[in-house]
Amino acid sequence: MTIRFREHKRAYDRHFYPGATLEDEKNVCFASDDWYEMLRFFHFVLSD
Amino acid sequence: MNVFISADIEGTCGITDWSETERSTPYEYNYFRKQMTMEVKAACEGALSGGADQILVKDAHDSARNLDPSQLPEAARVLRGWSGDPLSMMSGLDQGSYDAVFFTGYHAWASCGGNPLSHTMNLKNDVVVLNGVRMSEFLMNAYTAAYYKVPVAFLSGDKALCDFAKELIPNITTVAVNEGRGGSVVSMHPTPPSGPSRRGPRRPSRTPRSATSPCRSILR
Repeated sequence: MTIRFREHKRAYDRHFYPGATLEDEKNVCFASDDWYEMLRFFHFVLSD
Repeated sequence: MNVFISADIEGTCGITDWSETERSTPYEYNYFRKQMTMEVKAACEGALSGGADQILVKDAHDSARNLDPSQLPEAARVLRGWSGDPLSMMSGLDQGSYDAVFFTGYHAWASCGGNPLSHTMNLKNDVVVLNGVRMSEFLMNAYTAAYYKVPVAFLSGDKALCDFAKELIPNITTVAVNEGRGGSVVSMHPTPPSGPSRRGPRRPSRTPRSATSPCRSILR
């Protein structure tokens, strides 16, 4: 999956989530076969 | 037979502006807080008439302290606040055994033109793409329901999201309370969904009660 952040600063910050990658200045990518791991990613990267 | 309801506000009947979603602007917010409660109440009544014994309502907007529990049926328990677990808007689904999931007040995905308040989780992203599909909170939470093997039976919210939901889950019951265009919304009438009314056929409760059909088939 890919999240396109509005600000490059936030994308850079959040791409340090374990397993996440910075595709370009604003896009953070993450993948898992386990939906709970996706929820964990959302919890730390997509919330607040 | 237990039903889990996740309740948001940006797909509540008539809602159009962020100020109507925030406790910090009570003049605008309080009306929609009550409307959110009335829509949850209607969903609860639909679940109960479909055979539900117990209902857990997750207040799933912002502070998660929007609903007025005193207005809900006695069979409904309300989960207020945020525990901090990753289930987020579906928190509590993993703590019991549920037979159906309902969503109320849900809204379209980030950057969707079908709701002036469209977003996916926070407001700091332009778009969230999951397996090539722009992800809404509905899609995310429907997958969470599937993860726990609980069928999704009902959705109320904006038309764009309802149209998407019917493609994803053909037998879902939906109520499109709003249709957005740019910064505007055309909404159905927000008539209080409970109590005697000569306008019964037009009451918002009508369609949530129609959720009793899929609910009944799921629960029985």
